[in-house]
Amino acid sequence: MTDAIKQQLVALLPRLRRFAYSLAGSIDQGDDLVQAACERALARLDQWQPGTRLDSWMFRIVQTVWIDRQRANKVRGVQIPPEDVPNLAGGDPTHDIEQRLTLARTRAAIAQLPEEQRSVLALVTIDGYSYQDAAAILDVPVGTVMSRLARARRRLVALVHGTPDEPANKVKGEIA
Amino acid sequence: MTLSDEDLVAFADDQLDDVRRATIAAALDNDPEAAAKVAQLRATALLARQAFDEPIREPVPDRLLAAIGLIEAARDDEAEVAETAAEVVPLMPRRRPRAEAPRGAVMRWALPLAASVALVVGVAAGFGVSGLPLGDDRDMAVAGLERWSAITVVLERTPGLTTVQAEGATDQPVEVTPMTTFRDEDDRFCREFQAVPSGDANAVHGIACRVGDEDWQPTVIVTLPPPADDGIFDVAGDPIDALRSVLIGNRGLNEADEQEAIDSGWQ
Repeated sequence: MTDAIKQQLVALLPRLRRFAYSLAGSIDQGDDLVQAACERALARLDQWQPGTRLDSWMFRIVQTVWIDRQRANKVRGVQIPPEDVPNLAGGDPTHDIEQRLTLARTRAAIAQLPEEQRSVLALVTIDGYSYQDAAAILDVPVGTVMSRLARARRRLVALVHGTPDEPANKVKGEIA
Repeated sequence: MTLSDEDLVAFADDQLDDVRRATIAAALDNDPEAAAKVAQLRATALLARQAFDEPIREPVPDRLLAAIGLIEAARDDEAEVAETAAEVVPLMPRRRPRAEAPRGAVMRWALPLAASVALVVGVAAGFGVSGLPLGDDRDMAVAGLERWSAITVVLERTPGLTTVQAEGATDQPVEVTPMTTFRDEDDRFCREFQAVPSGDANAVHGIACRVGDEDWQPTVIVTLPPPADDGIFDVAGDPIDALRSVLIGNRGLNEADEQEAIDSGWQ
């Protein structure tokens, strides 16, 4: 691996870690994914086409490693406990604790999403990829990204706000 | 018009082209329920981003840098410690310092003995490592004052991650490597450094802050256990590693700012 690519990869690591964290539900397990993805990328560097985006390629590898592991572990649908125990050490002010609890609830809600919805949410909502880029990374049509994302977001609103998901939050005109 | 969830999400995420965005914005004016939904979508999107932003604010763990081959899995010597830090500098975490010192952890702290050095243990004390057990018996001569003046010269003039051989008043030279540079709560310049003396004295890893116009004073010093026979320092559990993100927070200086500070005499 050339130094230039290594440097690009290092610059990507924080985003890759965040992506993997949101997929796996814990920072440690996310870092396991990123580590495996980096190793896989190293081994298959010849498959990366210079001139194409390294970030998309790496996100795709992280996603693939995650899916592979989900299948291998047969943990599909099984909830991985998110790191949702607020770290209260250090005497944070109360409002910080409330905020942490809200974020913990958000992580728990995202962990409950089906994996294909979680991937789209992680790429678009958390990392800020366009629908087109997310579709390319996940190798699905843009329309699929849109519908998965809409379902994920509707569910997230329901879970975070503790309201029933269906049909109360349906917006008129929605095609299910 | 009727608005689908896809429309509202795309609008909330600003993923629409201008024409479509204008169309939906107009429709939302007449649909308060949908407009409220857009607000909710935006609020939860923000939460989703915040919920997972810890890796963005924290330094990348060494094992990932090692996976890329940028650092060795184990730090073999001083140079590689510096190399590790070199990767940390551009990735300086942007986070509010928050208390998460390894309180209760068993640590071996050792402080320079010379009473004339005003150790500012308060920085550490604020993070739950007060009551430092003074008097670790293995160590003390290391950062002795007779060498401190030589170390301060290095801290004053040397860019980060550059190792300089400092000649102390004693006959034992010491290799000093400034590492990260940051400003503390009181806006003082502080530098993390490592000093490895020749001979059998302990190496130290510490943080010194510039007090007043010209004086670097050690704020916290930890002695590194003697290297194993193969010369490898075991830095696992080094409290300064744990403290780094807390102390440095979002006040780390990048290379250019550090050089500027050096050039201006830390003014």
